[in-house]
Amino acid sequence: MINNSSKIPRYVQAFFESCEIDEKINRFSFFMIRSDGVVLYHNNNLANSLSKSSIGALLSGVWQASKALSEFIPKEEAKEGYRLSFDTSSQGIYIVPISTEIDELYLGLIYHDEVNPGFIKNKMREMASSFAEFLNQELKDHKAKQELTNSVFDKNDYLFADISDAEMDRLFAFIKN
Amino acid sequence: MSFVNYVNKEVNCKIVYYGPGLGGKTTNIQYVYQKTSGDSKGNIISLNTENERTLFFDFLPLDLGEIRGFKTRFHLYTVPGQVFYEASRKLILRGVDGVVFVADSQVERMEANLESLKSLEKNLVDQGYDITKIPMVMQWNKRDLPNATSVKDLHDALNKWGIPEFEAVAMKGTGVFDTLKMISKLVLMNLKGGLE
Repeated sequence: MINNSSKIPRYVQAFFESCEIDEKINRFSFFMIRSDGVVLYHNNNLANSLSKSSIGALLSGVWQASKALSEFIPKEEAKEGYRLSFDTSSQGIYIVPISTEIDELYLGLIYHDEVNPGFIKNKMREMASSFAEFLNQELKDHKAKQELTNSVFDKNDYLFADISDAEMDRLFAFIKN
Repeated sequence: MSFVNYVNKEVNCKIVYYGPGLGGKTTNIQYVYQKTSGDSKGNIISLNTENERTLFFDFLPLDLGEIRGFKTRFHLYTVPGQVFYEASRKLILRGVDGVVFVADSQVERMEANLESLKSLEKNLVDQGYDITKIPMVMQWNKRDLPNATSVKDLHDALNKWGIPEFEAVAMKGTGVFDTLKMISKLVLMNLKGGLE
């Protein structure tokens, strides 16, 4: 059984290489993340020392907390998917989910000095929707190719069957005395 | 949910420090942060209350270096220990690859340890994990205190699975990296995906 999640970075890379990102969005910082906060793509223009991993963890945390709260809202009122905004009239944070067949992904934007936030939010929604379409099509093509060649990789094997203590010691060589 | 990126040849894993309030979870990752050289660590993020108690989570990204050609990146999270933050703990456990249970060795904290372990079991089950299958390590913290209960009592009460356990004094760093090294090894050895 193929683990399609592991192919997502390849598709993400292909998508951002092929699409033209709106220059207004490109001015700001945006991140594509998984639900666990792992960053798949980023355009980080923030002038501070926060790493992309930290931003990914915070974006994911704020989304998940909001989603948990939203479960208190009667279901029949949710006619469309949620988006998350934390903003003033010219700056803020905006997160949109990307619905794919295999994973929950999000696009997060951090913007400032923007006279028309509605416009860039709309662009973000369009980007999320284009990516979902692109990914689902790629996955469909991939599945069709697999059926054709019948070459299914066995992804249930362990990546590292055994790891020696020496290998672990090398990994932890960064510890300061 | 670990993440193997075959494009960049890197693995991302999530480790959660779980345990009762004031047991030393945040102290563990603060010590790791202090003792990690600049290139390997990112910023430590702490979402705290005004009196420095963990409100949502602490987060520390660690780049451990390469193993067999794969860059290894660990994301360390702590949960808030106070009983009423159960909803937050549930969220933070999502996608976890390994758990460090930080128990407070003080005799009077045994009930809190048991309660926290019970909540961990329940929260893991709720999210489809089996506590006997997920990589997990026990840490008996605060071993230097005069009112510390015996290791045998901690083992009997909290480690019915016989998983690896370490004595620690997180404030001084004792046992912190032994614990992290063991959970990292268990998590890496549990990664599925094979090689293309």
